[in-house]
Amino acid sequence: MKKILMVDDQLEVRELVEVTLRAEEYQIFQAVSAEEAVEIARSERPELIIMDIMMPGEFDGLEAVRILKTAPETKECKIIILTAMGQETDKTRGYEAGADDYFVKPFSPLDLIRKVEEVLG
Amino acid sequence: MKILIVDDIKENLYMLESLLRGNGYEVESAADGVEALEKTSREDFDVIISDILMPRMDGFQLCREVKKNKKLKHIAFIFYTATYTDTRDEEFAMSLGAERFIVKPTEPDVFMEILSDVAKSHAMGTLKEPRSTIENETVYLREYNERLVKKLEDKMLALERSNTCLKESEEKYRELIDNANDAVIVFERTGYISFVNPKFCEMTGYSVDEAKKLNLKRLVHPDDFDMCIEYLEKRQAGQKVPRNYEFRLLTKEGKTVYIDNNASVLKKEGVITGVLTIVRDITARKRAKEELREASDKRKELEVIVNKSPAVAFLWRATENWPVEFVSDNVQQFGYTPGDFYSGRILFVDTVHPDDRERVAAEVAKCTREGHKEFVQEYRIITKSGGVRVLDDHTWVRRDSNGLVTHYQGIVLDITRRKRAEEKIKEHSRNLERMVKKRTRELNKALTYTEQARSRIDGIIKSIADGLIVTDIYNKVVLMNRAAEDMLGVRLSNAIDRPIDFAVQEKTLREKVKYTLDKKAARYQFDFELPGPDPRHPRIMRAITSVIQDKKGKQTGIVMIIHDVTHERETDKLKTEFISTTAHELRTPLTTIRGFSEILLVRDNISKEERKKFLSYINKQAVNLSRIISDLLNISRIESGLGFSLNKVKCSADETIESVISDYQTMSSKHSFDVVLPDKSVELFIDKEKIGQVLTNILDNAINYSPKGGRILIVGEVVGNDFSVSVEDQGIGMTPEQVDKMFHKFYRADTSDAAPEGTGLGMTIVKYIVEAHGGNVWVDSETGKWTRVRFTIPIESHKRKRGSKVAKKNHDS
Repeated sequence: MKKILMVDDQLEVRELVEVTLRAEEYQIFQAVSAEEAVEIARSERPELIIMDIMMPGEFDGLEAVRILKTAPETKECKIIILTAMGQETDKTRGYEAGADDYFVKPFSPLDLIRKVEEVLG
Repeated sequence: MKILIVDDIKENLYMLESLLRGNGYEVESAADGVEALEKTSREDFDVIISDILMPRMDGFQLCREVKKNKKLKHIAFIFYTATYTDTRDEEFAMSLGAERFIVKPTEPDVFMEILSDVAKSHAMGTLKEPRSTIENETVYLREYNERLVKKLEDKMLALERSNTCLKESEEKYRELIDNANDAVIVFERTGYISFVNPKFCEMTGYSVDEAKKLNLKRLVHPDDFDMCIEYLEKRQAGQKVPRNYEFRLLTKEGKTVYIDNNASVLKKEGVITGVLTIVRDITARKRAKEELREASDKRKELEVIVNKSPAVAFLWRATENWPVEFVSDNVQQFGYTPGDFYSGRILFVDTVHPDDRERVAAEVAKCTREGHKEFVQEYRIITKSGGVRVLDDHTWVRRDSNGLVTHYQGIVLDITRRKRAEEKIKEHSRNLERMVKKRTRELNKALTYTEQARSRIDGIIKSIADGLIVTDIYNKVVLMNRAAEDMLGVRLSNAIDRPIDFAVQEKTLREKVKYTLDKKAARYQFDFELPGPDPRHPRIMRAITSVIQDKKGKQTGIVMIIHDVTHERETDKLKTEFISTTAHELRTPLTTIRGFSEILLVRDNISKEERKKFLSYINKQAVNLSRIISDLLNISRIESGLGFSLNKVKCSADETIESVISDYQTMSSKHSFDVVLPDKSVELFIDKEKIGQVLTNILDNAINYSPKGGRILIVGEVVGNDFSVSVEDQGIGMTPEQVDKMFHKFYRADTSDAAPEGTGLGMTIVKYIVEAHGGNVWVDSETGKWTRVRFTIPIESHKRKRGSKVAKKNHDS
């Protein structure tokens, strides 16, 4: 079973993703902030991290991507960043930070499933 | 009666012949004694009148022969002589038997009387006895010889005497000629000079010998030569020629001498032998004449000028009425003749204008008294025809040896025209002055106006917060305002007229500026940074250039406006942030709605509880979404100024507050609402609905941020000119940072999952509405304890409107 870490400060979004990916036999972890994401990622080593960019906290999602992608123990994790629609810069910055793919909110859950399968191979 | 006259001189014969024939006598003549005797042998004569001195046979001899001859001795013999006039001659003549001895010349009457006497005697035969002539031949001859010798001697003596006389007179003449002041020249027929006197030599420089060899051509001035030759030849030919004429001689050195020449012809025995000329050097005289003529010409010219000139000369006697002793002809310009004055018909004083007479007289008297030599005055005169002329009178005072004034001598000039012109000029000048004054006033006004406008513009330019730099086509600074000075860090006084890159110190900016100016494009823009007060936050400046053109469209310079866009940038940044935040805020509910609705649609294996949960999520977020959107619309309206009009109505503060609170009192059980209102009902002029929303938003927050409940205190009171409303809760309170950002758009004090719903726009809207009413809003808080939000609304005096109504009411009643 593949571990997926879902990071978003909004409860409803986390729940949505969890419901979406639940049936596919993924193990879903949740984090509410970028710091928590890094923490859990280090300990659980998920195969995939779905990271919202805009989150309040010490540092935002982008920074977390950088951290995770440079740290040896987490750089293997695949990261999909969640951006708000129309923010092209987020996409570019995401890639620059090291993200593997991006996804746009609001999204269709079915599309999310497909994307996850794609990224995880 | 027949008479025989004997004389060797034909003229004498002729004269006698005429005389005698005229008196009725018959006359025959003979030239000498021989011819006479011959004639007597052929004819009979009664009388013989004979001269003595004759060739071949003289009178004595003839008489002898006649008286010796018996046939002839009866003829009366009369001697008629000029030469033999001695008494002894007469004695001898009479001794020869002559009747009479007449001496030449004798008056014809006397002669005729003697002759008629003799004729009578002869006729009467009472002639003296034929005189006995000297019988003795020898005695006769001796006597005759004596007479002859005597005659010869006498003649010799006479000749000597006359020679001496001649010599003397010759010498005298010589002396005269030699000492004459004039040159004397004698020309021979050949044209050569035969004689010159010393004066000639002195005059011409030639010696006597040289003169004799002198060619006339050299002596006479070439221009006069022909004339002289002509006269000389004519004179020598005996023709009539002017006696005196002038010409020029040339001296030996070639100098010209003017001479007056008096010439006369020399004759000897009727034949012209030469010409005598007396030559006077008139050079000096000529020169004097020339000078005189010149002087005379000059004087004539002067007279003409004087008479033509308008200046009239007067000479007045210094007695009453100033009688005129002399006045120049040109006084006629005034219609008077000199005669008018001389005759006394017109007195000078009468010609002076009556108004000026006293003054003129006084001036003359004064100057005379004070011993002036001359004086000048202006006065008017009346012309003959009654016109008025203005005169400029310059008078000299003539005094005698005692210093008493005898005459006044003056020159008067008609200056009427000049005076009139002067008057006109004065008037013109006055007019001009007036016009100039007026113009100056207008100009000053215009200038003041312009200066005011200019200083207004200057003030405007100075105060423009944007920097303004004007450069000419050489990129030299022409104008810079204060803001520009501050921005670029250089004073106008240092930058003016210098190239712009001198004014701009900062390197990158300078390059940008230069680049811009070199482009000379119509509009060009670039941004640059300037250090700001906070070193972390530089100011962003935007420079826009535009080209200045003159009327013809030629480029004359460039205007650069530098605008501080830091704030704009920030605003832009804020706007971008706002948009992205808004987008985010909108995405979030949408994500839920979209996501869960799809799950519900697609998945079969959703539990009932989960379905309900999911649907409630969708519903909540849909509601949230619409609220966000309506809030956004509000804000957008407020910020754009559109559609945010306050619908102010008169309403009671109490009522407004209580109507809002009553809703909440029913809604919330955890909270208690305490309301404090003033005793007297306060009337407010407000947009009731919007103020209601303000209260609602504040109360919502109070409720949301005091989740444990508690008392919410609402106090409404009059403070000064305002009505103050405060809402205090006993909730979780806020940190200073939270207080600070409370009114910022989308700021939510708590954004955790447990946070109450809110758009983050509520307080922003509160601030807008309260400020739109002219009021203010404040927040106080103690973290963990309480939060109080207070706002004020000015109590607007609408008494004016009311007042009119009141008046109407009074009127009606």
